[in-house]
Parts: sequence; structure tokens; C-alpha cells
Amino acid sequence: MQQDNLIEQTGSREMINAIKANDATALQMLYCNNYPKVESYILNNHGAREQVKDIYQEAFIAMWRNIQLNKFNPESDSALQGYLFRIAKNKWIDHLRSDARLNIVPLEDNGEESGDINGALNNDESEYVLMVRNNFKHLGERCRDLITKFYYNRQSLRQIAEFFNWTEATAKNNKYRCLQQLRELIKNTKS
Amino acid sequence: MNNHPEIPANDFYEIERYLLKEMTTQEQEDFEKKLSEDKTLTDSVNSTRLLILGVQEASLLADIQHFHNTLTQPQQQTPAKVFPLKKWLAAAAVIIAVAAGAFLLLGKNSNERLFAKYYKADPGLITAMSASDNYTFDRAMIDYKTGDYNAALQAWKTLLPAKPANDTLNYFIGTAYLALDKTGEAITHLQKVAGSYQSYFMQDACWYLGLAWLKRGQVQEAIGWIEKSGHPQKDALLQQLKK
Repeated sequence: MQQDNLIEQTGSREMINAIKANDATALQMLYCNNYPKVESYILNNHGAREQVKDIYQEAFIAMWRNIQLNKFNPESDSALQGYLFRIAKNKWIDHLRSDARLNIVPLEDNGEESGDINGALNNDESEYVLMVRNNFKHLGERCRDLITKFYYNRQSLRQIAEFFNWTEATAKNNKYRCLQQLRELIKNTKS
Repeated sequence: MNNHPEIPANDFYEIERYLLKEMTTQEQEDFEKKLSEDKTLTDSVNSTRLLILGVQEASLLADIQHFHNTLTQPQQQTPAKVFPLKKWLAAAAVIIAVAAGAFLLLGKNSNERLFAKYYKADPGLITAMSASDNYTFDRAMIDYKTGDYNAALQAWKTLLPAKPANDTLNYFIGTAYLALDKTGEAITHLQKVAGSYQSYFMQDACWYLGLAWLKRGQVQEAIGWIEKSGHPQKDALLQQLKK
């Protein structure tokens, strides 16, 4: 049994490493395999199909964030999937509570772990990250591509330079300029 | 959050190296010492950390929009949407199938009735992002998703000799056999995955393996595998099996 647990933990570590590396296959499998369970929960708790996507995607990003920031280290794949489901469930419960018109008591509302699940960043930090996300789409396509390749796909400056037919120094300067543009966009949003 | 100072390029590169853990141990120690003494540097590091996190999340969001689009396609029965006539024919076929199924169910034993109630074929994998060397697998996955399980099996079985222990291959060969009602072959392949804790398909394999044993009337064997699965209907089925 201990050996089984060890094997399961090893698999789980591989999954966590894949998530940290933004491995598209692992993320896609995790996303697709867990969507039906969340959908079923929301539909059975006063929700509509069109509300599921937003709640689930926010939950998925929250899970990803907490893994990146080492706030959650699951001991098994099922713990990871359970964690994703609990975040989605809590987000749905928060949504129901925030809509005073509904006056609904959600099913299975035991308020578990909501603090821990949402606690990777404080409110100001979360707000800033959200502004980054919202303004990112206003950057030019080349900037978005460059930033994504470097920070999300973890490509080296050399690979990026080759892709754009630049020198490494140009790639480095352009990356800084693109982030400066993003900072400006955020500053203008705030002011 | 107002602590987002202007960061000159050279300072930014140093902060970035720190955050991306590209510094040597000595560089990191020196930098952290500087950090403990310099409030503006601390603000710059925090601001850059959030900026990087935000752009990563924006990129992730773009990725998951893509995942979502591929997720909804099989659920919406895409081929039927393209050809309205086929949609009607498919609906008629479903009605006939349901009516025939209901008729046949009357004559089936309770295990087969439970199987029919809980069995739903695995929807298959999204194939759009695969590498070109997986063409045969992906092409067969399209056959599988359109219900042509024989064609999918024929292609996947050609790949098996080179990768006899591959979990994805064994899982889908097993589920395809199960869809064709060939429970013996299904069990052979699903067992290879259900015992592999490192496989992403392990829990799903347990579910289908349990259903395959149920179809064969081996209830205790079915219970053992279904208990190991993570299927949302696991508890409901177990409750009925343990009656």
C-alpha cells in the first residue's frame, strides 16, 4: 500500500511538473476531464450551462496559480482533481451568495477551505494581476507572441530570436519594451 | 496597489533573473541582501512578479479557450450540425435505437440493465494539437469519435507492437472494444492501464473495466474496479451493485 502511494505520488509530481511547465497536453487533459463534473454540479445547483464556462475557467486559473506559487502540493492526481472541483464549487457558491436576488442556499455548502484556496495573493495583488490579464489583449500581436513564448512557453531568447529573425539582444530589448507598453496600458487603466 | 515604480532596463533584467531563478547562489544571496535594504527594489520585484504572473495567466487563458472549443465539439455532435438532413436521420435513428433498446432491456438480466444505464462511451481525445508523427493515432481518434470503432481499432492495433505498454493506446483500444461489446478484449487492454498509477487514464480505465466485468456478470470483480475509479456515477452504481 505504501508502495502504491509512492507510485501515485510520483505520478502526481509528474503532473505538477507538467502544469508548472505549462505542458499543453497535461493542461488540456486536466481541463477536459474535469469539466463535466463541475458542469454537473453547477447545473444541479441553480446554474445554467452558459455560466459553467466562466466559473470553471476562473477555477482552473486559480488552481494553476496556486500550483505555480507552491501554495498547493497534491499527494495524488485525484487530490489535484478534487482540489480543482472544490475551487469551482466555492466560486459557484460565492456567485450564488453575491446574487441577493436569488436568495438561494446552495447544496453541500460547508464553506470548506475557501480561505486556503483563494489565499495565494492579497486583494490588491489579485486586482493588479487581473489588470495585467485584461490589458494583455490590447498589446500588439507581435508583443503578445513574444511575451507568451518567453514567459509561458519558456522558450529561450535564442529560440525567440531565431523565430522572429532577430538577434538575441533585439529579442531581449523588444521583450522589455513590450512589458513597458503593458505597464503603460495598466497605468492608463488605473488613472 | 500603488507600488509599481518605473524600472530601468538593467534593473529589470536583474529582477527577472532573480524571479526566474537564473541567478547563482552567491548572486541570489547578494540580491536578497540588497532587497532587504531597499524598499523601492522590493516594490519593483513584487510588481515584476505580478506582471509576469499576469502575462502567464493571460497566455493560459488563451490556451484554455482553445481547450474549451475542442471540448464542446463532440458534445454538440458536430457532423449532425453540418448536415441538417443527417441530423434528422440521426434523431430518428436514436429514437429507433432507444425504442429497440427499451424492448431488448425487458429481456436482459439486471447486470446488463445496469451496464446499459451507466455505460457511455469515452468521448475520445482532442486531436488538433498532436504532433505530425501521431497522425495514425489522431486519424483513428477521429474514427473513434464518429463511432467507427472498427476502423479506429484497425489503425491503433498497427501501432501497438511498437508501443505495447502505451497507456493511451491500450486505454482507447480497450474502450473501443467495449463499445463493440467485445468485453474479453476490452478487459485485456484496460487492465494494462487500470494497474498503472502513473497513467492519466488509470481511474477511467477502472470505470470501464468494472463495466466490462459487469457486462460479463462478474459483479464482485466489477465492484473492485469501480471502487478504484473516480467516475461521478461511481457511488450510485456501487450502491445498486451492493444491494
